[in-house]
Amino acid sequence: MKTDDKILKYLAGILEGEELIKFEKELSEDSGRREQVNQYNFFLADVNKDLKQTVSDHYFTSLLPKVREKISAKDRSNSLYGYFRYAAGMAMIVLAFFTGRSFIPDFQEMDSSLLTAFEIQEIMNSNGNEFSLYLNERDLTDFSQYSADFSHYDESLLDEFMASENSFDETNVLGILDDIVYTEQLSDSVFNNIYDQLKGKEIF
Amino acid sequence: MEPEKDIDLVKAFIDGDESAFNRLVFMYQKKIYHIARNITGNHLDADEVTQEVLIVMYSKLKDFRFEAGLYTWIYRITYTRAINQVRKNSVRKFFSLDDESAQELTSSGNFVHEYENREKIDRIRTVMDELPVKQREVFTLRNFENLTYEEISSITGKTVGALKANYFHALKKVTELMNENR
Repeated sequence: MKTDDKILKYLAGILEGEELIKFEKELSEDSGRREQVNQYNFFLADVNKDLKQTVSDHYFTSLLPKVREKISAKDRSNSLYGYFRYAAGMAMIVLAFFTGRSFIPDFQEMDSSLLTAFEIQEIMNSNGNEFSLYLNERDLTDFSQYSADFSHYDESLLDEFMASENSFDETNVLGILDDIVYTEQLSDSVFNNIYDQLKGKEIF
Repeated sequence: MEPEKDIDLVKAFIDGDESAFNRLVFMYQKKIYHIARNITGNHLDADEVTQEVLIVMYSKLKDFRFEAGLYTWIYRITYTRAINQVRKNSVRKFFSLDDESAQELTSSGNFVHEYENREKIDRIRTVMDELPVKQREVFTLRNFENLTYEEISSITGKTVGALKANYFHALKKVTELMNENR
């Protein structure tokens, strides 16, 4: 099949205005030209059909049990990790009580004008339990389903934002590698949005 | 029997009907797999992405608010995970961390049914793999999933104009490469 830029532009929806009108007129008057366009459509349908055949139905019948198994394993692991977090949190409270040291960071001092998600991740990692204590003290009770696993906060937060059609735009994300989100630099408002969402979560 | 609606299944799932999730999986698993397969270019990555997406669906459906279509939400997750998988592979390839596994990734023959037109399918796959990711993704979503540019734009965050241009170049390359490989 000969490559014809005009037909390809037409199929891609690039032709506009007079050029489109002229081409559609050509199609209505020239059956040969119509046949060429049809050939492209048949070709694409053929490619589509062939590519959809590349995996067996057996794969799909075995997919759900595999996923179910992973979900159960994740639930078990989350529940164990929840106990661990609770114990760690209690240890921090006891430590804070006996040492009199404040573990609550002053978040107001953070320069959030241009924080990347990586930096936010670093903040979470370095503050860990202190951050959760801070949030608990503020009696932030929404989003009770959330479990504060800061080491994995990136993906779960990301998914949550996607689920809620929030203004956090996943297209900002350049990639997730080793549990770190690499993004374009976040604006102040996006950071505040993330911060507000995190504030709204029940940690333990 | 009338096909079940997304909204009913999601509501049933939120209300504790686990089988509703199974039905959603049956409805969307092939679509998820094919998008992932076409963007990542191999079965192993597509399998990983598909499983990840289904797990995300399971844990996040309770937060879904139907402000956008369920399929758009699922496509967006699939698209992002697949693109991330491609990037991870590029990083691995760049540092040559696992040449052997990379070789394994490209030869997914063990997982694929033998078909009479296997040679033809392999040729198309080769052509698809030669497309830049930007072109491959729009070609996949537009041609295979029959999505409009506006829908693709809401999934990928790219402008309609850029998508049209990428689709045009993808079409051109696919036809040229298929002609060359004949």
